[in-house]
Amino acid sequence: MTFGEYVALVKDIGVTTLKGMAVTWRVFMKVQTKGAVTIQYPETRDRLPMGSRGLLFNDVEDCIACKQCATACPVDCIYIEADKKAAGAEIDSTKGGVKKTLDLKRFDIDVSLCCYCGLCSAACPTECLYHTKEYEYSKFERDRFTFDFLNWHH
Amino acid sequence: MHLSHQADNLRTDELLINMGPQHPSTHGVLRIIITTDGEIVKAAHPEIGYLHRCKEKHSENVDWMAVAPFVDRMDYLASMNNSMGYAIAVEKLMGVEVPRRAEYIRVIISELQRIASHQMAFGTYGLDIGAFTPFMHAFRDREKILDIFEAISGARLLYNYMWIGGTYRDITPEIVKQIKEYCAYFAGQISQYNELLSYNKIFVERTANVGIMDRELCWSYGLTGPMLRGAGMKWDLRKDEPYSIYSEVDFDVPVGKGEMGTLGDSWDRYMVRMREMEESLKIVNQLIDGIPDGPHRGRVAKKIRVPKGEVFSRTECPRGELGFYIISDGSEIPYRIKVKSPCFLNISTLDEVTRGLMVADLVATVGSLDIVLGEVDR
Repeated sequence: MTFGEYVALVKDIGVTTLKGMAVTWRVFMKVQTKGAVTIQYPETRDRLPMGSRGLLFNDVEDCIACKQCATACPVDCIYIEADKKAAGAEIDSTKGGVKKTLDLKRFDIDVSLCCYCGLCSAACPTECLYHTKEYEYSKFERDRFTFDFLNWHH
Repeated sequence: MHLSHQADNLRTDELLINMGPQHPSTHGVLRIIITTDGEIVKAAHPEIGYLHRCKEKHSENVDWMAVAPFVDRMDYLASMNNSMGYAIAVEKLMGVEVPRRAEYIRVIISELQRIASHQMAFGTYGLDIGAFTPFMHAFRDREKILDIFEAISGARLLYNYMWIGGTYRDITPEIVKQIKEYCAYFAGQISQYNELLSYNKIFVERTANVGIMDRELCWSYGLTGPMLRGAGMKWDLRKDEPYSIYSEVDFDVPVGKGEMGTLGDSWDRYMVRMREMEESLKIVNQLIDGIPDGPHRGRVAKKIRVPKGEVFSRTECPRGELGFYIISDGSEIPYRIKVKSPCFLNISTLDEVTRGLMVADLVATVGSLDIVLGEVDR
């Protein structure tokens, strides 16, 4: 490399870098006038769109214990136990009018295993299992991630 | 005694350097064992498997629908393209016809995903080379695509959106508007990217003539995607073996021309990605206005049974050709799903390409491969 080539290279580097810095300057001025795109998370929160897939919730009043969600689940994190109703017991129905012939004994979801794929809520025939927009539910103990929807307290 | 004579008697050793698994410029958990002589790389041995999650074996134990979330998690920067490839393969085996509306949505979404993936490649490549600002620009714009995807599917990164027979949810007019706004916005951004990084002389000096992969090398390793196109070979499955509705859209296949140095160097591969973003934008703009009405999912049973047989199908992902070889024994769960991953082939060239380069150039070469270790190890 001759001295002339070296000078030309340095000049080229300076010019192209200044071009890049001009872009940065334009963005900087835009931020000054229009505000930044960053959200300061705990103080301001993003509004999640409709159908956002957060924490699962099961409305056990409408659940018919068909276990379709547990079958669809790719990570097997839904645990359902149900018995046949005793003879003579009243058979009530869901809001949609589906008869609840089984007695739901257990509906647990281990949300630490859940991969939020949405296959269970899509499989649910009574639409009682769905994703909420809830996403802040960190816990200190791992066993507290198994959410019992029959005795729901969150 | 002369100084040169002294230097001859000095005993020199090769030095073994472990780059990774926790290294900011190895794009995940890749470990490269480098044998160096001074600052020259004598051999570079990529050590993979840190992200191996038995995806292929796991797929043999879940039903056909439940494979899609696992497929998403292979190349986590291009989930939509991955699950689209899987869905197309299973549909081919089942003989299901996908509604026109679903095809339109699929192509629009997968092209947006390609843009998002290339933005990530652009940003992190700048980060590897030492430019931090492009990364912030890329992430600001990628965020908007993720917002669109969140509105469509409900998730930000692992969507499980491309289902067998169609899509998970339908697309609403608000989302169409959002996509149009994004296209108008992003069209002006690419020139900013180029001003920031592509034509920056320092960047060009770092990447041009570095990590040269010529056509013969690409062929012998079976490379596809931006690697092959960066070497000047015009090969794109969307054009040459069109699937879905790619045969109806008009777009170019950008190839490397060796503008800044040798054909097939890191800059060429990088620039192919930048130009592909423009082409993807072109495809989205062509399709977004003409989405036909109709169902968004074909006639598929809730519990999918795939007829006995085997199929190989490949699609063009942002990183190259993603192939699925699927064997079905006619039951509710797959018998075997073999994935042909483009990143695995890309990383296998590392030793041959980087031999004789400086250690810093190895970083530039690894960055230009744009690998995702989730897909290499699966």
